Amino acid sequence: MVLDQKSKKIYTVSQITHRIYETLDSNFSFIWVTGEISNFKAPSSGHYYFSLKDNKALINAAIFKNQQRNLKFVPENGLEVTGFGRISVYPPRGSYQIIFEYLEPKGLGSLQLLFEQTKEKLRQEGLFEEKYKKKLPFLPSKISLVTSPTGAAVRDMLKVFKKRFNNIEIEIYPVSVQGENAHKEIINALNDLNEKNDTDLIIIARGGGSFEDLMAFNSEDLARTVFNSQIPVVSGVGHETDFTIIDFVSDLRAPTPTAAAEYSVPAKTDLINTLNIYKKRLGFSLSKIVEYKKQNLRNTEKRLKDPQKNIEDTRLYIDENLSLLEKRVNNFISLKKDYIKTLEKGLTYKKLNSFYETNKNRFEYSYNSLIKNYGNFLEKKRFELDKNFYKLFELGPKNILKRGYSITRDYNTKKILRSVQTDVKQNDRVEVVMHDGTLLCTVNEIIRDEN
Amino acid sequence: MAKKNFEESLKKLDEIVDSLENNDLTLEDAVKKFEEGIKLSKFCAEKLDEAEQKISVLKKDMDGNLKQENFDENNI
Repeated sequence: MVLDQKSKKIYTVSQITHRIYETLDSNFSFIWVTGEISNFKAPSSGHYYFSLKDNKALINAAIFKNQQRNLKFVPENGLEVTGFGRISVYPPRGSYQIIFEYLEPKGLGSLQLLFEQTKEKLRQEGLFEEKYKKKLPFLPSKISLVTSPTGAAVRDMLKVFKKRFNNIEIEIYPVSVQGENAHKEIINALNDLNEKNDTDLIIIARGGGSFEDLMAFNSEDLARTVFNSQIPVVSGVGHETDFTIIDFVSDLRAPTPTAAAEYSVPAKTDLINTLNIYKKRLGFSLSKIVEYKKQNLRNTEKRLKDPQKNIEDTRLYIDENLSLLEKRVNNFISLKKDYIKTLEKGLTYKKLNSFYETNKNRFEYSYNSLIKNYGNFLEKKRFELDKNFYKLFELGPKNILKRGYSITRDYNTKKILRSVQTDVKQNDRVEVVMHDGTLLCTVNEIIRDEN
Repeated sequence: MAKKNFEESLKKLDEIVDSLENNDLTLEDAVKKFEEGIKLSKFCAEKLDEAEQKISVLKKDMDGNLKQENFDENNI
């Protein structure tokens, strides 16, 4: 390339900077840029300064205070955003940057992001914690509905109250549930009801709608008011899948207005049933106790007998045992008696035997001498007797004998023989006593008289 | 706040039934508990029927004071 000195154009710094400004301003005055926020700064001036980057490049960016009212979220580092703005050059520093008119989070909508941001903020403050949840009244006397007086929500709830418990006082605090001022109206309603303090429960309700429609219920201020309410608050906003910020701070989150009404009042029929069951249980348990006591009494009665009977029973018992005792004692005695008898028997025989054995010689001697003496004595007496017999005989029958009579006697026994039939036998020795002597004879023959 | 005592009474009733069923009470105590229980269940039943259903709507007047007005369901 040949440089042509003539055609050579030399810019001052300002000139070239101005040319750059013009080029950028004309070519990039309305552009959409997407990237990730970093180096976010919010100085006291109120403007936001940050960088937008992707993996290869970085560009400085700013949003001036005036444009911030259009933001539905607070920019933060790491956030992927898409924004609309212009490239601006700042000549004193030779720098360029994007001045954003509008910015929205990439992916999430900005409302969604605001929701997440508010939720995170309140969560960190502890507003969602379980310990702050107030207990709902079991059976409220009065319920205040903070809702639109003309929507499906209020109709659904009244239907539920009528069905479940038809005599609870319901008070409607009419509010807008959508739009710029909705959250302020709801805040006012909550404050009024708390000031009035004559209701047991507040239900904040709204039927289903888009995320944007429900934005009033994501208001941070409203969330704080719900949190601070002295009266328990039930939230029933949108459909089952919808969550709003007040769902997290309310004392009970219901998925729908209908559910909110159902959670708030017990079914009267259930309560009546419960009461009836209690009544039945009362009666049943009392009669059970009475039956039990009766049984106890019967058992005790059985054990408690007529004392007279008791005495008789005892007497029988004693008698039975007495006779048993007697029998036993008798048995014992007779057993002992038998024993003694056997002992006695053994004792007598043995003793005598041994006594005899030891004194045998003395006995024999005594016996012999007794026999001998007695024999002598008998001889003597017989002799004396014979002498006396003869003396007597001489005195008495001698004269008769002289006349030829004689007396025949047995020689041994000296018995007078009177009959040949009975007193004498052949060969007996007999003596025939005559008046002057005696014949000793032996009977040769016995001749009995014929008659 | 007429129904405030309902829950308390129901709880007491539950306790009474429980003690009647599970405790070895003297007959006197049992009868006493029974009577108390019956009284409570009657009280609760009465509470259930207390008051008519009343639906009102709050309106703010010119001075910003709240006023209760009857609510006409047909307007929904």
